[in-house]
Amino acid sequence: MISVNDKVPPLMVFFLISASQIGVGFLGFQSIINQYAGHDAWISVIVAGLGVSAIIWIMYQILKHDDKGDIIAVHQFTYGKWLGNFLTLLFIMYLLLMATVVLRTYIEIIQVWMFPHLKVWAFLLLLIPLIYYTISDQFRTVVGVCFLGIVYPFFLNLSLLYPLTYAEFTYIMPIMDHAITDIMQSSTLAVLNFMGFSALFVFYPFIRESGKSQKYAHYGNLYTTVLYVLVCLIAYVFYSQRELDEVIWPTLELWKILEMPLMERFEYFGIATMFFTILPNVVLFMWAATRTVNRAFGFQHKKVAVVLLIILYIASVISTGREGVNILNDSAGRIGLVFLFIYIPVLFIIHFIRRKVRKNVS
Amino acid sequence: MYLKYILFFVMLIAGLLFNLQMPDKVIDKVQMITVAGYEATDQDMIRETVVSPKFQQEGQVGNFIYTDTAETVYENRVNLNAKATERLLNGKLRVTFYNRELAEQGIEHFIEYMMRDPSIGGHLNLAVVEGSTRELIDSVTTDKGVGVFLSDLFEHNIQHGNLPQINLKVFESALHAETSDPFLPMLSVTDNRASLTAIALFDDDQYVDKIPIHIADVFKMLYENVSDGHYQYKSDAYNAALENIESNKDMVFETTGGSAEMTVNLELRGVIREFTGSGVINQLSAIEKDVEQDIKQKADNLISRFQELNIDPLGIEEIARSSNRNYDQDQFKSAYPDMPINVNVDLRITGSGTER
Repeated sequence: MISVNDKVPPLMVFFLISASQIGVGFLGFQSIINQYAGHDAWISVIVAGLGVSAIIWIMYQILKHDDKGDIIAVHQFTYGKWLGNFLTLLFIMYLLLMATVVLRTYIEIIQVWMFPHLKVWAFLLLLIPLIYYTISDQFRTVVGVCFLGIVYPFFLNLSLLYPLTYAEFTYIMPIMDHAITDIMQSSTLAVLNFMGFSALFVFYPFIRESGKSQKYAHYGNLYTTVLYVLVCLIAYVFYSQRELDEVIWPTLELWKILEMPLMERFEYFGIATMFFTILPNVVLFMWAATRTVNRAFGFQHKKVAVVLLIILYIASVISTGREGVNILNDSAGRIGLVFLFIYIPVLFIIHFIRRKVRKNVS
Repeated sequence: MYLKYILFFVMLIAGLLFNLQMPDKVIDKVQMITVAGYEATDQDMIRETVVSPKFQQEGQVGNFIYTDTAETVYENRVNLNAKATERLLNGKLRVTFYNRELAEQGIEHFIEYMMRDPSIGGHLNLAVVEGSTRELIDSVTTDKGVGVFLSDLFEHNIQHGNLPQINLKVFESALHAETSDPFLPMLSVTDNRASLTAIALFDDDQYVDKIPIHIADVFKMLYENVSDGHYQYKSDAYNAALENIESNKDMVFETTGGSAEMTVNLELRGVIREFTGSGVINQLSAIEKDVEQDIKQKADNLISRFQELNIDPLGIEEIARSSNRNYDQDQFKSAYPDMPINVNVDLRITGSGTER
């Protein structure tokens, strides 16, 4: 049983949800999502945000009607012990994959923008103790990191206003120039940047009066959506669509237009501060993975953390170069899409039927 | 228990030690390039001249100037480094030049390497040079250093002069957008002094024509909203100088019965600072009419010149694309040279200084 001291107030769900959603995707999603909808792709972000809100609703419906209220219990209840634990194992691998993607992409950005000679394996040695320190003990530490992960980088949003002096508003006109199907297709790409919230399946029991926290989860998602839409719009009036084809990280490149005395480039500030949005992602996924292993298979939490961190370390070191990072991102995207929009609704339905059947039997 | 801390300690030390071996860039062990000039030579080679500041006494900056020839920019960097006392780096690059021959061949390749380099910002000034870039760099005499001198020159001409907002970011946007063509400032050496003499017009990335800078005021009004411009009106009856001009530009694209038409509405407000006639205060509306007519005349000439050259530095196609859902690129491109483009000028003179 989780003691009350280990639990966090429902308001924290806001920070947990948005900190887990805003990650490396924030730096470059604009040039990926415009593949189908072109300059209308910012509408796709709104559509994706709404879709995610619906999934959060479904997740709460599943979790509310479960005694223990986490994915391990739900899986065991719905599919029985063996199949349930097998699916939980897949979920753990998915969390690990996401943590690797985020960490590896961030390191790639450091390599490209700041230190081309950075040794990945040695740099990770600096981060791993930090991650271990955060995830090995109480959940409250993780929540603290998530809270700061929203608060610290907030001033970066202000730096994105300056590029508006170069805004060409004709670039996003005419609005709704693409078919609805194009916009929907783009929104399946946009959804990839919202994916982190699946950790809700694990931390739900750690929330005080967890049933009441649902509105904060939706607010958190709203904050992410608004932020993404604004950043998307800024990039779309700053770059023409042809330019976006060439740019890998549009948000980062917006900072190229900022000029500063002494520091010269704003990116050094920006990328360093982005660490505070990356860290919550990684620690939350790693904590969730650790906790899930601990709950499903009963191994000791700290030992699991060590083993999973070793896996994270190896996975991050062996996936090298733009190619490797791209493969990681693509596969995480595809798996995430299936997980969120196919698996979760299916789970909801099966769980619902099982519950009714069980009730009738008793 | 202690094992954990020892392990942490070892990991941190190892992580730091191995990354400490990264090649470093100590500030007094590098030379920051501030100006780079490229010119075409025979046999597909480019000659590059780079300038890096030499800090002398308090407040005085001299210049290291190196020139060499190679096939690519970074191949040339090897040659230049062979001459430089410290390693040459891009981080402070402020101005790059292309001479006219090179600009006629196309300069996209020399833009590409700058976009790729994260240490080069979007504020960088680009310019075309009439004649040799080396000669132009040598002609600058200043204590600020050539890079600062030239970027200041561009900056005040953009804010208060006839040069529209232009830098690497704007040039690159116009170059890559299929709906507009870029332009650049053009420098040349006159009386042994570097000076801004024209605006160079490009078709895609190739230089095609120029507008002398003293008549580029109309171009600037057509291109962007001017916040502090000026205009000189000359006629047989009187001459007038309008200063502190603020302008608003509004482009309207209409398709009526299959034929497209473009209207540019210019709204100007300005103050008279110089007037060779007499009694300016009584004939403001007459002056307004004359100047409006004059600006319209020049704007029409300018636009028909663009249409003749089939270039679009004003981004007219972008307006057409963004305000027309049935926009068709090929159709527009073929219609553009003969498209009727009307300019309406509305001038309001808001003052005449401290004299009547």
